[in-house]
Amino acid sequence: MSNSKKKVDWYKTVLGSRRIVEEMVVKSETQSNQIDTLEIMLSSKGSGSQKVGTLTTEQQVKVEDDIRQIYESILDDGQLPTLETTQHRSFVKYFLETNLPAGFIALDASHTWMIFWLVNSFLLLGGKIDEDMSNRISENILSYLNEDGGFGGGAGLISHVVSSYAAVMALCLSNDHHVLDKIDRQKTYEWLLSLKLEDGSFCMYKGGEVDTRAVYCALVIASVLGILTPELVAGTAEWLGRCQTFEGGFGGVPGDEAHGGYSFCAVAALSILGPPQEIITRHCDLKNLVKWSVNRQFQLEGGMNGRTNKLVDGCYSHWVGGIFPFLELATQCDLLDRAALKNYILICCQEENGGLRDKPGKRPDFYHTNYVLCGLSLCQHKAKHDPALMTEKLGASAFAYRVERIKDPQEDPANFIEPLHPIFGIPMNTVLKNREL
Amino acid sequence: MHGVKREQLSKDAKQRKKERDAFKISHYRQLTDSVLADKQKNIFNNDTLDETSRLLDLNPEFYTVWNYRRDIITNHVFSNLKDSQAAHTFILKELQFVGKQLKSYPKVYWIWNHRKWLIEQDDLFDLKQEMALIDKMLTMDSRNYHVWAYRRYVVGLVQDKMEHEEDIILSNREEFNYTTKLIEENISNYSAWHNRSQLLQKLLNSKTEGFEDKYSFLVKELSFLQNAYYTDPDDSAVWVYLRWLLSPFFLKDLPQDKRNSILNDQLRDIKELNESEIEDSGKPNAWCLKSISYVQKMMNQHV
Ligand SMILES: [Zn+2]
Repeated sequence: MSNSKKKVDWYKTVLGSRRIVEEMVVKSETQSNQIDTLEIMLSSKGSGSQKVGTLTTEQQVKVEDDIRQIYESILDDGQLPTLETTQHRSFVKYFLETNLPAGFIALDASHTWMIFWLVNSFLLLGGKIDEDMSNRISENILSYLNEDGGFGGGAGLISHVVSSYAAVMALCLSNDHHVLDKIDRQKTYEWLLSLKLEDGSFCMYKGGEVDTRAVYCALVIASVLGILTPELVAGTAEWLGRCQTFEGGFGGVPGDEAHGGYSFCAVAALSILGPPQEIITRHCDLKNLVKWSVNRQFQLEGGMNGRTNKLVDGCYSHWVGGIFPFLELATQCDLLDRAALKNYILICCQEENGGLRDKPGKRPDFYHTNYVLCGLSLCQHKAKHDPALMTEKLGASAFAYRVERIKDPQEDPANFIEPLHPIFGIPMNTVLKNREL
Repeated sequence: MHGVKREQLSKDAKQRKKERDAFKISHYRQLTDSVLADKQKNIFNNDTLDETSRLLDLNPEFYTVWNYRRDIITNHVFSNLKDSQAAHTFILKELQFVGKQLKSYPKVYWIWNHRKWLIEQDDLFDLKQEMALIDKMLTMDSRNYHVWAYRRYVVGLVQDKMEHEEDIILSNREEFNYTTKLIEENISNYSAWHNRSQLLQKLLNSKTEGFEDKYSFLVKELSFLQNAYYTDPDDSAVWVYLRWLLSPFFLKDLPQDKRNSILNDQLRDIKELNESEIEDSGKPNAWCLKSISYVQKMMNQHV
């Protein structure tokens, strides 16, 4: 079956109408460049209704009006913005090197996160880490390592699984090949095991909350440190499957509403336990998941939201967009309108003075800078899962990815960004480097 | 790029802000150091409790301090109380503190986590009062993910204490009616639709009045839904929910004739809605088209 025929069939099961579907596929295959895509985006009437004045629709209509205006002015100019790599890199570097103003106190318990977001953004933008920066990263991060084998979010803070994820990822990014050996793997393993609950899920810290983020973070840590065991993940895939809602996405815990962030965590965590094409169908309803994920992308805005009837937000380019590599592997066809997402990111999410943001009118921050860049990387690459890289070992699947740049002669090299590991959310080469050891 | 231009601070204002920031930071640092040092030494008394209040006012995201506060309450406050009435009084005061925090920071995990823990510690706590707070918070933001999760949690606690099956059913019914009310206020409230989907499965299982047979329930629910999609045919929440009501989950248990009659009625109504959309705007409605094709697929599937 040709890819295009397959794609039509997939969309048909997902979206229903053959007419809409064929239009979409024809559209996507004749898109010669971003400007054409922009025209198609503008031809959408938008999803906000003009009919009733509920608050939800009012906000949606306002966002659409703003973005439509921005897109129209771009079409008038005929000039698409490119990625302001230098600006963004200096935005990130400035914060990596300076003390933070008081407004950032709320992030005080999130030191490992700040370092992770900033360094990850820096690397995605092609930055190089010198020895000095490498030392500062690992010294900083290791100072948050606790006796119990977990990392706190900052100095003196108790171990927390989400902070520990950010810490371990930041160490992978630090360009120091031996730094992970400074972690006592046995201790970390026992700590993770102590957070495991009987139903297969994990909690954030002893007495802390449970959700799919905790599961994802625990599994990533174990996977990168090579301490994933059947005991640690017994019942986990089944628990994740129970978090899928009738809508198709995943809630934070069974019974909660489907949500972009929790869905990414659930799908990526499952994909640590096996190749997506096998594990997703085994533990959840793939068709429903595709349907829900595809519905997150707005036709007019091109970007994504995290829940039904919420507004577009740049960070979901990663949280929802990041589900697509797995879905594309499981279905063997293209499901994401990458050109439209790229337009949203480049036109709506870049701040003039550097940094990336949720949507026009919002301030850039570290979090959005990182996840919008992850989304942009997704737009330029395609993930393959290579059985030749697989071994019998539990968790080996996570290291069997090849991520390749999508060949597009129209793509301005100024927009190039590093390929991202679909599960870990860090540049491919940093994963490979740590794997070789 | 194309952003809303923000006003630049004048040089003087910048300097003043810098000084204010420096003061805030040094005050915050001192307090943090002192709290973390006391935590390290396991000091549990009224002073350290107050200290954590002050620090949490400055930074409610400080999960370690919430954790420390919990240890102080367990090891100091509770161990010095004479009975559960005294514990109850203390917890009410503590809940006020947490409530104040939630007002300003309704999306901080640790605050919700602390609240959950508190009400679990109090045997005399009136959960009805908690439901009133939840209702109020949902009036402020009807899509707050944390509040919805907390609502399901508190309802779960209420039901755990119930001895009779009928009371549990009644409670689910009240929750179901609450989603009806919210949806009637705003059909775009997908969180309400989601909660409805959870509750109706429980009610169908209990076969209580109005839910005893899937067919009559479906007919009623579809007519409720129809009101919604006629109100706003562009609202995705309604269509997502419709598709679920017409999925094998519901249809598989129906006799052929009833199944057909439901699908036929839906097909007719959605087509009609689509026609009127074409008259209004010159374009068919995408959600109508998708739903028509879905209904047709379901019709063919069984034949
Ligand atoms: Zn965001």
